[in-house]
Amino acid sequence: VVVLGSGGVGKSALTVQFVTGTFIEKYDPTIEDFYRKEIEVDSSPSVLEILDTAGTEQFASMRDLYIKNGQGFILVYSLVNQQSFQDIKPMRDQIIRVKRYEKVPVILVGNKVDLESEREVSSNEGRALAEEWGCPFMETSAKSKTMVDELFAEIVRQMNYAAQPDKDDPCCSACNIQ
Amino acid sequence: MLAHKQKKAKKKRVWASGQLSTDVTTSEMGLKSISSNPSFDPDYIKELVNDIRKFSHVLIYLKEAIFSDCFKEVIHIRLDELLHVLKSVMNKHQNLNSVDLQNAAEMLTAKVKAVNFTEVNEENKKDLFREVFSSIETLAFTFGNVLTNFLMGDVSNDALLRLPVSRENKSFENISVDSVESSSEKGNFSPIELDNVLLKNTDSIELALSYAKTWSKYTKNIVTWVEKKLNLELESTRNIVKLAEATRANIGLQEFMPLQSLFTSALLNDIKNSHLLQQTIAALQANKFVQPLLGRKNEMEKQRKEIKELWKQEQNKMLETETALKKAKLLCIQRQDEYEKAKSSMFRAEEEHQCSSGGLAKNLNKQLEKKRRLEEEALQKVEEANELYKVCVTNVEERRNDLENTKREILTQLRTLVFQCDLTLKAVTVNLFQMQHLQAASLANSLQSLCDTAKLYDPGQEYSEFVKATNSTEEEKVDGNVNKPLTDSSRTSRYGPADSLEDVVRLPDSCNKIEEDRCSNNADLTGSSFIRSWTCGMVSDSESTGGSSESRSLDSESISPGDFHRKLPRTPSSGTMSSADDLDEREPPSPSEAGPNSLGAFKNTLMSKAAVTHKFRKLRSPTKCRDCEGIVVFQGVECEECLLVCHRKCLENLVIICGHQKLVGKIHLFGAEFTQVAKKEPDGIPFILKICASEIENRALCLQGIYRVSGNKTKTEKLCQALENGMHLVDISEFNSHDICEVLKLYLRQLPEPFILFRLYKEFMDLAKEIQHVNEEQETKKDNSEDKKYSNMCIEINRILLKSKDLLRQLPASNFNSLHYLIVHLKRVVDHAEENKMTSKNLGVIFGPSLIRPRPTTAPVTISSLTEYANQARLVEFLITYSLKIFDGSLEPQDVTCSTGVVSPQVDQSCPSKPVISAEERDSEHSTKSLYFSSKEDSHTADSESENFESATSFEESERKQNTLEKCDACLIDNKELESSSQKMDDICRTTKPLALKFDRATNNIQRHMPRTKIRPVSLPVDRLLLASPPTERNSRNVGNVNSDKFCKNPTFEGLYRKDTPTTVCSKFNGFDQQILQKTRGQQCEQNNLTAKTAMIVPSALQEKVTVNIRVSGDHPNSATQPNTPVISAREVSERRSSDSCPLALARAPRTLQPLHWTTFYKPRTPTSNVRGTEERPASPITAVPPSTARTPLSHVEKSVADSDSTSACPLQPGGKPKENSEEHGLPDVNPTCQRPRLKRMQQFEDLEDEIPQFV
Repeated sequence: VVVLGSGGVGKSALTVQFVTGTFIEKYDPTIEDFYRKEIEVDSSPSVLEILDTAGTEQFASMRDLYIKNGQGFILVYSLVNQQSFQDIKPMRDQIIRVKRYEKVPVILVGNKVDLESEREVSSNEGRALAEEWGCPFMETSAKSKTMVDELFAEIVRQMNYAAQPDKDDPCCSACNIQ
Repeated sequence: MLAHKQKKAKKKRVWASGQLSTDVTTSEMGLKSISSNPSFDPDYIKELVNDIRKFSHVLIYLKEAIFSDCFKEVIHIRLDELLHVLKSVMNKHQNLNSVDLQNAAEMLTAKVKAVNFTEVNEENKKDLFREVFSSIETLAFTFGNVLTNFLMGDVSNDALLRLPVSRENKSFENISVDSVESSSEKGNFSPIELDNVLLKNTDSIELALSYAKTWSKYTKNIVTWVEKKLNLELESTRNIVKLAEATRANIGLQEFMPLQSLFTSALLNDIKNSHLLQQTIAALQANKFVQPLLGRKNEMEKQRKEIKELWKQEQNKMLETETALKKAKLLCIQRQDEYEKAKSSMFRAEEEHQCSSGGLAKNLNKQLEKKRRLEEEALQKVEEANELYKVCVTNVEERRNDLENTKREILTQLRTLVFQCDLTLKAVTVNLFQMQHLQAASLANSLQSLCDTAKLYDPGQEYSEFVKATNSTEEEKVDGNVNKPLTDSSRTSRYGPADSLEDVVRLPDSCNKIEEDRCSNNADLTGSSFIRSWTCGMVSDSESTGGSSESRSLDSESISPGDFHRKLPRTPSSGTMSSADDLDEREPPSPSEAGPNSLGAFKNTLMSKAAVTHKFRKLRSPTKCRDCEGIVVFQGVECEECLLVCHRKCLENLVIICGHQKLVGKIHLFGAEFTQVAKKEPDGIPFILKICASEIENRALCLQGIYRVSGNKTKTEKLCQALENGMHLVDISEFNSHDICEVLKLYLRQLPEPFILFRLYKEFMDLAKEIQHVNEEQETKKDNSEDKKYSNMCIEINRILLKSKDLLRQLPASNFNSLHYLIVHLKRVVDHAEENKMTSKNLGVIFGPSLIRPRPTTAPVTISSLTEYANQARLVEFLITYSLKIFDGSLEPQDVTCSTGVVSPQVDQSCPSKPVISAEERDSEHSTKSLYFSSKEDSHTADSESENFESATSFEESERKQNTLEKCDACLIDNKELESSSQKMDDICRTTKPLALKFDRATNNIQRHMPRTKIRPVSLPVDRLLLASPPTERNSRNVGNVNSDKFCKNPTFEGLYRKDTPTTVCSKFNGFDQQILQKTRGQQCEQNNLTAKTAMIVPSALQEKVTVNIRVSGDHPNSATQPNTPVISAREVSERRSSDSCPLALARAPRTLQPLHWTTFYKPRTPTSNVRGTEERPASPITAVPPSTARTPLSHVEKSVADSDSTSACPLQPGGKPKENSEEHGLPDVNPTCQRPRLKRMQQFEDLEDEIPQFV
């Protein structure tokens, strides 16, 4: 699974929250981090390899590589930052372009739902975009651990669905979080 | 025609600037020139002039009245006069009759009425009347505008604005009299007459009431209509906006489509208009139409019912009285009858009495008596009835009078009511249509412009553009700067509307040339091709001039051929280094030609802050808009001073402020070769770097995620465009901080070659690996805090520092300077890491790949590049963390020597070759530079030159001999010399301000001979700031500001002053004293404690530590930190102790990594070096002490602040602190009192830049 999204939206926080169950307070931009976690989704165990990627534009050149290697994608935006929502769109286009087919397992995620008061992107906007892309949509909070496990369970489900369930290890070989 | 336009322009400015004393001669002259125009009758003109003069006089009277005595009556009388005159003028000259003017007059009236005259006194007079004055000015301005437009015959727009005279007059009356009654004058009757007429009518009340009823019904209908219509409009507007936005997004993606910019602007117009319309609708729905009218209607209903009730009651009463009267009358008649009966019966009884004889007489007598009594009674009753009747009659009479009165009253009431209602109705109707009209007018204007623009498009133009673009993408990458504009101009010449023979003849020629040019330009951009493209641009430029003149004549704009010719010779002269495009842009309107336009029109357009700084006039020939880069045709404006051209609609977003001189052409900035950009800047630091960095430092240092969070794409693009278009003049303050960061990042990212050149990539990466290695070691060693390992670490890091310095020295000066500037800026960002959460590690990650990257290859990106990214990030992090050391050291060769000397044997042994190389390199660099400056050198230069050489040679020698002692000597001497000179300088600067300029030169010279001078202008103040923690940072800025304030006429001075003295000092501190200090301190805690105690008697103390302290204060000419430093050092010592005992404690501080480096770095030295360092000192304290002690009081003032600062901001830098403190203190000491807003920093930077050219 590759986690993508523009800078500072909480990709790493989401990933780390999922993997270790803690919320990281530090505000360090990621270049690339790799995590592995075993989870059981719908009573079938799977090993999830998560690639937490750099959101900063500076590393945009790496994105193709991530996408090429990723099987499922979590597109994260910060719902307190309209721009991050705008940045998501070209990323999805890039995924489609690199993967050359439409049905890539993708989840659109609005992070930082705990900052409801500073919200800039409404749920409806996110939902509409997800509908347009035909992908699930979630609003999460890495801080309060809202929907984090659900998110990763969902992406596994998506990938299982896409990668044919007859495979033994249905988890994506690389899950990148940008 | 031309002349008169000019005159008008002048006059208009007179109006606009509020100098109401209209230059009569000017206007007359202007008018005379008009009189040649057949449509104007000279007599009429004369009359008009007189009227205008009268008007201006009245305006002046009003102003004087307000100025001199603030009597309400006087002012009101003057105002009345003014309005009267204005009205008469407007009546007389219908052409001047315009909504604008009327609005301005209304505004003025309202403002004057709003003034509370009881509160007026001398102090608040200005405040109170400010609005009044501004509205007076607006009125004058508007009048001038209207007049100008009228005189120019440019009434096409104003025809729309002109209102039917009758309406105008009426509403105008309202302004002056402003009472309900006045509006009744429009009727045939005066109010009383009206009432009287109605009174005569019997059912007048009913009539009036029924009228009122109908009125309210009518109003209801109207309101319903308006409401429904507004709703419909609102809905459609929303749809239009949606549609427009969607379409805009769609068509924005398709490049090279015909009329694309036109449609985009049309869509934008749509959106804008829709928003305006929505506002209008909202206003109409709220307080402009619906609500007041409904309110009025309801009130009317209520009053009408009340009156009706009243009237009914009155009528009932009347009826009652009348019935009473009737009854009384009947009674009266009845009684009369009875009386008659009684009377007749009495007569009969009398007759009987007479006829009958005496026997019966007695009986009869009795009867008679009875009858008589009856008769009398009846008579009495009759009289009573009569009385009653009379009373009733009077009652009725009274009642009738009452009724009459009531009727009159009711009628008056009703009349007032109706009038009021009418007034409201009128007002709201005026609102309604006026707003709608304004809406429509702006729409019409924009549509007109769109139409005009569309006419100008030549079919196939974009297609050819497209083809060209696809062909030349490769070229453009290399020399887009030249080629793009070229294409532009060639396009105009090829496809422009020019059909004249001339153009046709020339056309193929220029095309060929262009093609040729492109071929020659293909890969490399040599100087010759530059020139060629430029000359070529000129050719095509003159052609496009022809084209544009043609189109102008199409515009039915009469342009004299002379004018056209005048322009041609001007064109070539305007060329600098700029591109053809630039010429094309500038070519247009000579000031005389584009006559003054209706400035009133600008008034209506929204203008950005930057746009206000320009003096705009109408543009009459098509060129390119500086804001949106689209073609401007008719709706364009041009600044009179900087010749900036842009769309009227773009004024809203314009961010380029007026530079009051010709705006330079577009600069290719993003993705341009760095050397090209750097060439233009004297210090080699691209302006964009400076402007962005300083802006961010001004306002966003504490913003969370600064540089990390991405900016808005469209805004960023716009800013990029603006920066390319107007570089130095962009009003960056209107942009979001993240956008600015994004621009800076984008710039760095798009550099074809990063600051750290490709050829050095490998070396730097090796370095990064070493850093990584050291860091890892550090990690492992963190647990066991043995001193030996710490010292090893120090050595390691020092080694890397040295290496990095050497590597950096291999960079070209401009690269080095820019990198230095950026790193120092980033360091400042890191200093606020607690707030912005951007540590040097974070910034390293973000800027890593922008600053250092491998030569781009065609090979696909692989995972391995990830490690490279990490290393890049690590390197940048390292640079930021140790920016003080790295850049200060390399700034001053002496310091470098010094520090290397101190670092000593180990370093040399570990990598013996590199320092030698670097020394040689430096030497050669130095010599070339000194050659370069040789012409300007004076005795000063010579001195310090030798100094430099000395240091360099000494360094080399020491390398060879491994004799650290000697080295130390040499550098100490150097330091001393420099120090004293800088001190002198400083003193001079402070004491002899008038001589400042001269000393500038001196400082200048001194700077010049130093090998790395070029770096300094920017780096030095930066360094200083960097060292200081936030509050002190401001203080040091204060210093700069004060200087600039004091020597505002001499910006150079400030820059120099700030740079020179502090820098030399601080670099010295860093390089030399720091370390020595460190050593001594690390050596013995006891001693440190002692020093703290003995601090106040420093001069007399002979202990090592004390000398160090003195040394510190002495080094800095201004620093009076003596009392200070010890205190801090004491604190440090305690800290130090704790860290010694438990090094992990350091880690809990917010900035974990860096401080750790620092501590390790400054850990104990070998005792020998310590001794050596102190041995040399005795001499300096003696000289240094006097100034420092003298200034001690000042430092006390600052002490507390600095103390808290240093402890809080950098608690973990025991070594660096004392020095920093001394510096921090020293600077504020110069001028401790001044406080300075951060905003002025920008100015400082500008000053710096101003001053820079002198060096190079």
